Amino acid sequence: MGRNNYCFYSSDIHTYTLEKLALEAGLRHGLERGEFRIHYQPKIEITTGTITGVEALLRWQHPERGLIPPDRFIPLAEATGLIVPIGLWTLREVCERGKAWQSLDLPRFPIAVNLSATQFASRISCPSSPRS
Amino acid sequence: MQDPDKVVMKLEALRRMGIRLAIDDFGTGYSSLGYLKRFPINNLKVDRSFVRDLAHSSDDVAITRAVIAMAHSLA
Repeated sequence: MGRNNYCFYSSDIHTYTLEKLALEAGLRHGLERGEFRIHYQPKIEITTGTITGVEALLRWQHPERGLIPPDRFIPLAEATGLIVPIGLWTLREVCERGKAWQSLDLPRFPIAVNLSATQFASRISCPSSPRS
Repeated sequence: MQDPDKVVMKLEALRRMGIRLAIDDFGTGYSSLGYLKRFPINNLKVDRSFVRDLAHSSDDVAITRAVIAMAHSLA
């Protein structure tokens, strides 16, 4: 904070920090424990009502806290760099799902997936294609 | 954001794979007009905060119209 400065301690700060630390630790384990989910939200052309594609949305199903909204954990994942492995997991998951959908007798549709600007800072920002 | 030239290369690689690129939450946070000049973007997704009250806010209408007009003339 530097010189000639002061601030008031507030128990809110303490609670906030603890909450953040707990979430951060949870994020690390959440990926290993398979707590992330992807919800596919249809994109609808409002003039015709037809589905034009889907958007993949990341959700965190915490074992004790329930469903944690993305605005609570994405900024933290970005700040800690955990967005990189979480993002890779998401991309791979979406690709696998897209492949599974392609094998069904459905019309082709695009899948949108969000990448964080932070992910472009990492050397590997795309999953390598499966070598099978 | 880090080195924009490297980001452009990555985005172009994605485009070559047939992936279309959109900027999400346009108008807030990371989105800057400068990126529109450099990045190979297909779509802009106007941030919800501008679209939510479109029916009641003439400011939001003005902003959204301007973004759409700009996006079309960049295309």
